[in-house]
Amino acid sequence: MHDQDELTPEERAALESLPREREPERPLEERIVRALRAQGLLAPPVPFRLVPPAMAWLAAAAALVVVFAGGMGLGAWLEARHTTQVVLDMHQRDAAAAAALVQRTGSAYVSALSALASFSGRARPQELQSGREAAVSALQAAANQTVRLVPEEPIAVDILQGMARAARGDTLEAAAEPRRVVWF
Amino acid sequence: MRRMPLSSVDDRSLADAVSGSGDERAFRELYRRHTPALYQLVLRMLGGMTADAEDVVQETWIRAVRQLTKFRWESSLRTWVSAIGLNLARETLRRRARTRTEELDKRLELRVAPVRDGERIDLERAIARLPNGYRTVLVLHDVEGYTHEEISRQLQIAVGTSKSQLFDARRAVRSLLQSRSEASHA
Repeated sequence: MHDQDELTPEERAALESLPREREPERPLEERIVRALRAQGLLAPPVPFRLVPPAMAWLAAAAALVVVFAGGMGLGAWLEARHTTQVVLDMHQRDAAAAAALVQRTGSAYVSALSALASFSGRARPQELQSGREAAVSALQAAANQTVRLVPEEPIAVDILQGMARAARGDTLEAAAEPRRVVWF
Repeated sequence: MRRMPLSSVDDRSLADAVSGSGDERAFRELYRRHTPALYQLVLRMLGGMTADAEDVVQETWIRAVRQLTKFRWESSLRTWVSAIGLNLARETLRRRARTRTEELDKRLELRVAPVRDGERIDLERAIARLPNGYRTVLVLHDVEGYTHEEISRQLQIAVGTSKSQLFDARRAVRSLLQSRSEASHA
């Protein structure tokens, strides 16, 4: 450059040869995008969405069935395990604990029946039948155990006698349609 | 906008997508389009201070995106973004003390390596060593091609000030290049 206000051609060429662009490091872009997102100026990233092909849909459906069946099995196992535990508790506890257990399970029995009764009038009779059979069978079994505990217990005796009378009248119907109660 | 490549979408449509729905892809396209020029300008204005230049570029984009809805498109987006970057770079220069010359030289050596570009390195280094005011005017006028009137508006200084600073800046660069040339021949 010479000592004048104007640039010489060489100076001009030298200045023009200077780069006008420079790529910053790649992390700068990510840094800026994160900063913009943090300030709510850019939308959050769209979650990755995969549209599976037909075979993948089938595989997904099969997997769903397996998971569902597994869940059902696990639930049944847990329920059976729970019932077994109750039975074991009954035999292992002392008299006071057994009485308390009778109270708790009795309350649960009545609550379950109350829930079932709330469906009467809304559900079809077939849907209520198994519950009704279970309730009656439990009542009969409970009455039997109560008579075993106190042979003169009038309510239990009356229940059993009433059931015996009803059973005689229902013989034909009962033979045609066996009870489906399963005790755990 | 999803069906055509973003590279063929104009700045205004991309800017609308960014300001309207915070479209990240549109922003990235704008960023990639204009950041290399912005970064080089800011880096040169700051005398080669890379970390500061990156901070300025980041703040520039944040301010630009925040104010996109107010931009009236009377100039190009690049000009507008560069103006924001220039102001921020000047703020940085005012705020921070100049880095020591030896450290600056070391950074410039690292960034501009090829030997055959020695003359260009010398010029870049000489510009970097100018006082801030001189460097700003020289970069805007002689490198970026701004007129004195544009510099006057951008920097909010008188046109006469811009001219005199350019005159002094050129003299200083000539002097720096001369002394370097003499040192290398000695």
